[in-house]
Amino acid sequence: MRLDLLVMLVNLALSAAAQDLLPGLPGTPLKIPILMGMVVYYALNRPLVMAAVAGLWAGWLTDGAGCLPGACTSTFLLLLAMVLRLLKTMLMDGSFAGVIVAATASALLQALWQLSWTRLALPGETWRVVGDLALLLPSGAIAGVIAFGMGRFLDQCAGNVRPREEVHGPA
Amino acid sequence: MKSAKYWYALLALSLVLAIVGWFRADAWRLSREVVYPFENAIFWARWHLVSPVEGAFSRARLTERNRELENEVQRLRLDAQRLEGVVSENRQLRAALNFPPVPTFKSIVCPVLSQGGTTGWRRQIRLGKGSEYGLRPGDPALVADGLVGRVEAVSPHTADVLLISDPNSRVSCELDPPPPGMDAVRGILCGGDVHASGRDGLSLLYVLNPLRLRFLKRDVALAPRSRVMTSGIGGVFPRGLPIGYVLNSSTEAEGLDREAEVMPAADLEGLTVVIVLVQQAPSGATP
Repeated sequence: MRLDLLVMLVNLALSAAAQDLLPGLPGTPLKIPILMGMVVYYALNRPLVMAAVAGLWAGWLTDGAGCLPGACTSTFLLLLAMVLRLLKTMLMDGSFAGVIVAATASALLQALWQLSWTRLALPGETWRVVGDLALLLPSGAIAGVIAFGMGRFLDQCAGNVRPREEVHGPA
Repeated sequence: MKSAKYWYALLALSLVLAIVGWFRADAWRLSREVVYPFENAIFWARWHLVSPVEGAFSRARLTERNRELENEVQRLRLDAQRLEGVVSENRQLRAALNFPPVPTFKSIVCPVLSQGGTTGWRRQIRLGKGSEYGLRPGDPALVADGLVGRVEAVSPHTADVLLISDPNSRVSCELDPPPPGMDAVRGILCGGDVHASGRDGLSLLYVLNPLRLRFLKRDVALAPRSRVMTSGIGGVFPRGLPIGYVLNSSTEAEGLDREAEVMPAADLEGLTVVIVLVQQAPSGATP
């Protein structure tokens, strides 16, 4: 297992703390979904089984520390890990850009999932809420940057992944 | 290959624990305890490192503030002595009339660690004290200005408080004093929620709506800035906690009741410390 498990635990705990403590972007009351970004990082850079474990644990942390009903976010993140794994090639094999694109789209999907699952009392008309949820896109991109930076840094420090080598074409 | 087996075993174990955990509150408590050390460290650093540094640059203001607080303490001591006599008299009168004893509360001062939880869907705050200090779900949380919310969930070191401004919050209230000629005017205070600032299309800012006091008598005339207090009905909150002030009132769309907009008395955005009232056994019940 090398240090994979330890790095995952540190990654998830730090992500949960950062998500809890950092305020949301101006314009949306929702927090930056860094835990979801971490699941995206694992789905695109590590084996599927690790991504699934990360998804379950990240969802459990999100639901528990966010007072959401059980299984709400963990179900979503488990499914997200599997779907992203299928789209890995399309998302540039877990490169920085791939993680950002996936995290941006996933942030919106996660918010809609939580909204439909919890049926919390929300203000405004449906279309306005959906329009405002679009403001989550930059939050997702930021979550992707943080998760990719932290996950890749800790994995490389622990020797779990090797730095990508530059490939030169024929002279 | 061997490590993959471990991971599959871990996944299976996590799935089993997740399914079991969905039906148990322990899992939720544990997740909050994972985040607690980080929140507490940040709060500690802010309280013990940042605040003294800020204070060092404003000594003159601190001295003046200290003098004001000393005067305030003297005044409050006098009030407390006077109220002790009133409480004693009230207890004797209740006993003479065979009224049940008034519940007593212990005040626990709690630091506010974070706002909004990990998702931001709910308007809530997390406190740095939990069941180890005797906090329980349902306990009211307040500051000197007024009610803030009620404890919704607790773990050993933390407690989540649902603010009165959350759209899912409901508090039984009454006006203080009641309008002339009426014994009491009661209603249900609903969370104010937020609305988008823009009129059309995509908006860029959320604005906090006032709280709404609903189901008031239709023909009651509400004076602006009337004080709204908890009514104590339902037993969730003790009677007489200040909540806010009436801004204006109108008849509801159905025309059956009147509703009023209420401005919270407490600043719900800048909370750093709140007081939680923990109900204690009636004094008559203790030996």
